[in-house]
Amino acid sequence: MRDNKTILLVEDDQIDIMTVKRALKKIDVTNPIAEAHNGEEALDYLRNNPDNKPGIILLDINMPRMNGIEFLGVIKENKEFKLIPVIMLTTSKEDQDRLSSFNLQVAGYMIKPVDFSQFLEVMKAIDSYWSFSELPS
Amino acid sequence: MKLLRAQVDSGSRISGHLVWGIVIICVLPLILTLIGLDFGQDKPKAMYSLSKTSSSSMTDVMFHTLAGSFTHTILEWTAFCTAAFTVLFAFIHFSIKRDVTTPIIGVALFCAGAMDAFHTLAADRLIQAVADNKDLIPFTWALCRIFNALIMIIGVGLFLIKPKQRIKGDLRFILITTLVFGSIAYTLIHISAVSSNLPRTQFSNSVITRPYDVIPLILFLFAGLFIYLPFYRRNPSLFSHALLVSVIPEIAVQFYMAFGSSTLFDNFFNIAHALKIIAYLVPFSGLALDYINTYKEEQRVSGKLLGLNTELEHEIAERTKVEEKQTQLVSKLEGTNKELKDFAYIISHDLKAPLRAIGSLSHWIGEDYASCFDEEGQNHMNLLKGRVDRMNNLIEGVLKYSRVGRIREKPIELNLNSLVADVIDSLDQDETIEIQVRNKLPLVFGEMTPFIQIFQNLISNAIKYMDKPKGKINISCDEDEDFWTFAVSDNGPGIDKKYHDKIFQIFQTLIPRDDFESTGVGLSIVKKIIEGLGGTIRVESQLTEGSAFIFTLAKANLSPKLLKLEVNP
Repeated sequence: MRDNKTILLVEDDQIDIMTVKRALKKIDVTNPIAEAHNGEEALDYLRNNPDNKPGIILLDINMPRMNGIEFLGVIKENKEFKLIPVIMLTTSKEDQDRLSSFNLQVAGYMIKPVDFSQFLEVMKAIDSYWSFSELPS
Repeated sequence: MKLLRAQVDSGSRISGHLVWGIVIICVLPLILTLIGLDFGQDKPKAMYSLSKTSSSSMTDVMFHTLAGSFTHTILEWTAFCTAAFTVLFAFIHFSIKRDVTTPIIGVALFCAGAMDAFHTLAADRLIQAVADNKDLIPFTWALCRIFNALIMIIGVGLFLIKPKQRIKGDLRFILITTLVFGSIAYTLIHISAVSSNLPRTQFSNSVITRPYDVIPLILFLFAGLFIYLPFYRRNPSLFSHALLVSVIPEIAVQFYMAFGSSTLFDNFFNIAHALKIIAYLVPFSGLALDYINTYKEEQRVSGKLLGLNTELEHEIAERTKVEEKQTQLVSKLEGTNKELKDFAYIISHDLKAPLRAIGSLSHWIGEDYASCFDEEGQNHMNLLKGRVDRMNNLIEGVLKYSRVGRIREKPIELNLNSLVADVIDSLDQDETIEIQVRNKLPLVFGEMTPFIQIFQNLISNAIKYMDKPKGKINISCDEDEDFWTFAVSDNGPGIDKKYHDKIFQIFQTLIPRDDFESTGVGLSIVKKIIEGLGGTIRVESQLTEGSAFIFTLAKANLSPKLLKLEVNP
C-alpha cells in the first residue's frame, strides 16, 4: 500500500492478528503494522501518534471494552481521524452489523474466511484497491 | 281466510272448559226455575197495612217492600263495578302492550256500564227523574242494552274498518273516543230522566213481554257473528276471544228479559240482571288471563335469559382463559425465538473463532514445515484441513437451519418463473445437465428467501448427485382449487425407499462424508420451510432411474391476508 503508511490493526484474537500479519507478509505488503486489542487501545494509539496517522484501519467488530462499531462511531465524529479509511474485517454476517458499519461510512466490509488461502485473497484485494485508490491525506 | 281452530295459539283462546262453564251458568237458572226455584222479589213477603204498624216496624215494612229495588241496585252496581275494573285493567294492559284495541273497547264497555249506573241511580231516585219507575226502569234498561250492543259494535267495528296498526297508540285518540262515547251515554240518560212520558216497554201479557229487548238480542247476535268473530280472527288474543264468548251471556240476558220477565224484580228479571254481571266478567277475565299469561311468559323468558346469560359468562370465562394461555404461549415463543437468535449468534462467533485459528495454524504448519513432513504427514495435514472445512460447513448449515422461519421478510408477490430462472442461473452447472421448467409456475404471495432456498437446495442436490452422462432435471407445477403441487425431478441415482423419510433429517447423508462432502442440511431446510408454510413434501423414486421431490403448498397461506397472531422474531 501507498507511502509506507502504518496499517492500524484493531483485533483482539491473537491468531487473527498472526493471520493478518502473515497474509500481508505473503503478499509483500511492507507497511508497518500497529496493533490495538480493542477500541479503547486503538483510540489511545491514534491520540498518541498525531503525526503518524495510519493510512488504513483494519477493524474487527467483536472486541471487549469498546467494540468495532462503537470505535467507528467515535472516530467518525473526530475531525482528525474521520478521513482515515476503515475496512471492517470481521466474522459477523449479521445484517445489523453490516448496516451500522456502512451507516458510519466504512470503506469496506470483509468477512474473515476460515480458510487461509481465501484470507490471502481478501488481503490481496484490499492491498490492490488501496494501492490504486488515492488516500485522503 | 278461514283460520283453523288448531292453528290459533292456545294463548289466544279461552279454554273450552271455561266456555262450557259459562254456558252452564246461563242455562242453570232456567233449569232451577223449572224445578221450582223462584228468585223473584215482585211479591213482597210481608204485606202490612200501613195503619196497623208502629213507626219502628214501618222501616222494616219499607225495607221488605223495597227488597226488589235493593237487589236490583246491588246487581246493577256490581255490573257497573265490573265494567269499571275492566276499563282500568284495559288501560294497564295498554300501558304494557300498547295494543290500542284494548282501551278503546274497554272504554266502550265502561260507557255501557256507566249507562247502567245512571239507570240504577235514576231508578233509586238518587238522580232527579220525572217519570214513574214502572216505566223508567224498563225503558232505561232497554235503552242501556241497546246502547251496550251498539257501543260495542262501534268500538270493535272501528278496528275492522281501520286496522290497529294505522292507529298509533296515541292517547289522544283514546281520549277523543272516550269523550264521544261518554257524551252520548250522558245525553241519553239525561233525556230519559227529564222526560215525563216514556214509552211503555213492559207488556206482562204478551209472549214477548219486553219487545224492546229483542232489539239488543238481534244486535248482540249480529255483533257476535259479524263483528267479534272477524275481529278475533284478525287479532287473536285472550281478550278478543273473551269478547266473542261474552255474547253467550249477553244473549241469555236478552232471552230471559224478552221472553221471561213480565214485571219489575220478578224471577227472570233478577236472573237476567245477575247474568249481565257474568257478561261483563267475561271480557274482564279475558284481560286478566291475558295478563297472567303474559306474566308467565315473561317469567319463562326471563328464566331462559338468565340461563343463557350464565352460559355466556361461562363461555367468556373459558375464552378469556384460552386467550390468556395463548398470550402466554406467544410470549414464550418470542422468548424462545430470541434465545435461538442469541444462540445462533454465539455459535457463529464463538465456535468459529477457534475453528478459524485451527484452520490458519494448520495451514501455516503445513506450509512452513512441509519439508519435515513425509507422505503420511502431508496426508494428515490435508485431512486436518478437510475436517476444518467440514466443521465450518456444518456450523453454517446449523445456522442456516435455525434461521429458517426466524428471520422474517416482508411478503411480496413472487413470480416463481423468474425466481426459479434466477436460481438456475446462479447455480454452478455443467453443460451435460439440462434443466427444464415444464409448465408455467404460479404467482404467489410470500417471503422471497424461503422460496429461493427451496428451489436452490432441490435443484443443486439434483445437480450434485447426478450420475448420468446426460442429466435431466425437470421442474413442474400442478394446480387444483386449494393447493399447488410442485415437483423437482431428475434422472439421477434414485433413493432407496427405506431412506425416503431419513433423508429429510438434519445432518443425514446417505453417502459418508469422506466419499462425498455434504452437510446433509439442505433437505431438512427445505422440509422446514415447506412445513412452516403449512405444506407437505415427499419423495418418489426408483433406484437408478431417478427421483422426484414433490411438495404441496396451500393457496390460502400464500395470499395477501395477514396472519392474526404475528410472533416477533
